[in-house]
Amino acid sequence: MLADQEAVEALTKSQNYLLDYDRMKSAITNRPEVSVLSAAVKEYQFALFALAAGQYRHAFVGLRLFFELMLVTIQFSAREIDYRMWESGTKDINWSALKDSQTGIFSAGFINAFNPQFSESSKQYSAIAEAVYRECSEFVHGNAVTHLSLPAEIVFDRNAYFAWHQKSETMRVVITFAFAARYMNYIEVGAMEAMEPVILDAIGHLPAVQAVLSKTFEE
Amino acid sequence: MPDFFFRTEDIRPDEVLDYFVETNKDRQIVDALKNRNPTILIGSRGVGKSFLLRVAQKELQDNFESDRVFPVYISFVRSSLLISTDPDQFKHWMLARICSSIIRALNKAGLLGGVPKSINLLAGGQVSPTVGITRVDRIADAYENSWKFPESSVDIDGLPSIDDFKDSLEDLADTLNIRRFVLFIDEAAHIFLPEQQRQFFTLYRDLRSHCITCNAAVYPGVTSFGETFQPVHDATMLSIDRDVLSSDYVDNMREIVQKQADSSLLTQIAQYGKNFAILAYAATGNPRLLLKTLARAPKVNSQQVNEAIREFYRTEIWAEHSTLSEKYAGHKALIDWGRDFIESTVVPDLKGKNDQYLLSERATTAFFWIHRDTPEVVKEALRVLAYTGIVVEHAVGIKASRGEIGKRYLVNLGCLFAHEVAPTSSVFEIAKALTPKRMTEYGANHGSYRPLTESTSININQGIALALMAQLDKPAYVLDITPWQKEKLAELGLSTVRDVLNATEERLKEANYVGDVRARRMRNAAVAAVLEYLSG
Repeated sequence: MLADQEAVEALTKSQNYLLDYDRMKSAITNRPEVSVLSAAVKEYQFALFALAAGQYRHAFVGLRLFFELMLVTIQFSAREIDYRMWESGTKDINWSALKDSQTGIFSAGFINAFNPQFSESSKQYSAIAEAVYRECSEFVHGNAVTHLSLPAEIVFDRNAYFAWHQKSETMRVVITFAFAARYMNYIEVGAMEAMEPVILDAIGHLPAVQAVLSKTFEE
Repeated sequence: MPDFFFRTEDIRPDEVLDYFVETNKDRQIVDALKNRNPTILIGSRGVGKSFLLRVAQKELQDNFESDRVFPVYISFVRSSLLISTDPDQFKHWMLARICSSIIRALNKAGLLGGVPKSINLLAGGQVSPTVGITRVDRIADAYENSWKFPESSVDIDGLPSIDDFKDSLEDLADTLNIRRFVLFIDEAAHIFLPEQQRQFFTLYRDLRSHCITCNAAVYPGVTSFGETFQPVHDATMLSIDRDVLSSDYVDNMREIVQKQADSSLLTQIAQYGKNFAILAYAATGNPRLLLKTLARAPKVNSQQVNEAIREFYRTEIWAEHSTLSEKYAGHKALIDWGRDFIESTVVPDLKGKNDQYLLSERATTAFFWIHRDTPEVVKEALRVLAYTGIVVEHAVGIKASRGEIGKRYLVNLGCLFAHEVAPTSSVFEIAKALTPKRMTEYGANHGSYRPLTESTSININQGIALALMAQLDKPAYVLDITPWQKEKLAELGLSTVRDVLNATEERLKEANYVGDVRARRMRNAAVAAVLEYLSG
């Protein structure tokens, strides 16, 4: 793999996403749900490790858990009681609740409560979240197609390797969207300045982002 | 290249609701298809006629326990294979196919456990409790295989008359506690065979009964209704055009894609939203055209989208249209003139106007108007263009300059965009500012009609027979299937359309990496492509 420049670059890029997630963590460092974000980032690192070791199924499984924990961080920010119950072991994380069209984190009600300017695009990002979660779930459930697509031995597999990075990139876009929609109007200017390059890189094409950023820095 | 479903036939009927993106218009159509009044659904290729029939069928199936309305889906796509000596072959075949489909559907739904006596009349003979191959199945199959032995005659002994058929369905309805049978007839009448159209609509009219609702999907060019069928009185005629002027048009088209696309493509669509909107507008409401162009531009960046629009709407969409003139020699002059009229007259006119309108920030156009007294051959040429989706009939009885009355058409936006140097940098503004109020008018004797009206080689009134044998000898690469499927057919040595039509699932399984499921799916896709190719 080390001889494959493209593969090395992909790994570096996915590794560098950790810097983005650190900035997100810093932006909400005083909030209770930050511990969930920390746990998510740890899972991302385990997934990266599994990927580098050629353990592709475990890399996809870890990636899905990372994604779920990152998004539930946002859900917990609005429902602290759920967070406390989860922390005490009396409530599970539920993907269906996360993406619920009426009450989930991409629902019109949720987005409008925190940043109505993002509501126009929320359905689209919800669809992406659902697709990438479903694709990783195939590895969790051991669907037949995953046995065909993954190598039987521990060897470098270009297709599986790049598919993982592709999903990691997609998740970063969705997470950045959900994070910006939830927190952008409420974090301090310093944290916002740190987040700006991340947001612009992932979802800077959205008119809502351009509007909010220009307003933030005018003030 | 993303592996999209381009045809409803490729989707399992019980999964059809998973792919359904419901607009208000779609809901109206599905409800109309489910209710008591007969409905005729009209739309170009690929707009989703079969899909909506399947949705209505599935919804009725899901509610059968409470409503007792029994749906039966029947495709007439195989009608192009009929070459027997029987002058009434199409009528007999239709009846046999309908009987056979009803028995199959009842059997599949588990309603023939006790085998009611009335089923014997429908089946053309005694039906055993296991309901194997019936006499009407054999009759239908014999007609469908008549292309192999063109001079053969088919024995129709056992085929019920229309009255027997209706009586039998009434008896079945009583015995099985069914309130109504709803027939969904797809690919109902062949666009280039007026005689088939007349026979179909006559049968459609004859099948009226309190316990039968007959629905059908037809192409826009179908106009020969026969002597007994009257379009407004005998059926509700519904057109299935998605309105490109509607504010949620792009969102709806995106949702259709979301049902099939992977996360990587969806992310690209989110990032290049404007480019996706351009592809959606170019498709002019036709999901199949959108999926096909999107499959060519999976990164959705400007370079890919520009290339996809240029290649698809300048070349491929026309290739399909022009192929029709090879199959139907009598229509050649008419089909070729239609292409020339759009490419050399209508599109340049519209483009010239839009260039001016955009400079002065005024509303734009993709509409043209044809006087109602225009020669019939010109109208026929426009009907063929509507069939292939190059134009869409937008409104009838429209007043133009000096109070003259005519029909307004929308030209396929992709064909209009393809004439721009770089579509992604200019056409979004055209699409967003479209208004039907601006239309280019072509009077009853417009000069551009002359090459057609003076042509002597047109023969549209004699029901031009399809040159079936010549089409079957064409190479298999003419079929509209995926490159992977083409590769597998070549691997198996299935080099002509005839070879593909003759191939069994067992034969297809001989290809590398093709198992039971893939062989079935591949055969379905290949046969659907063959039949679509043959039917024009």
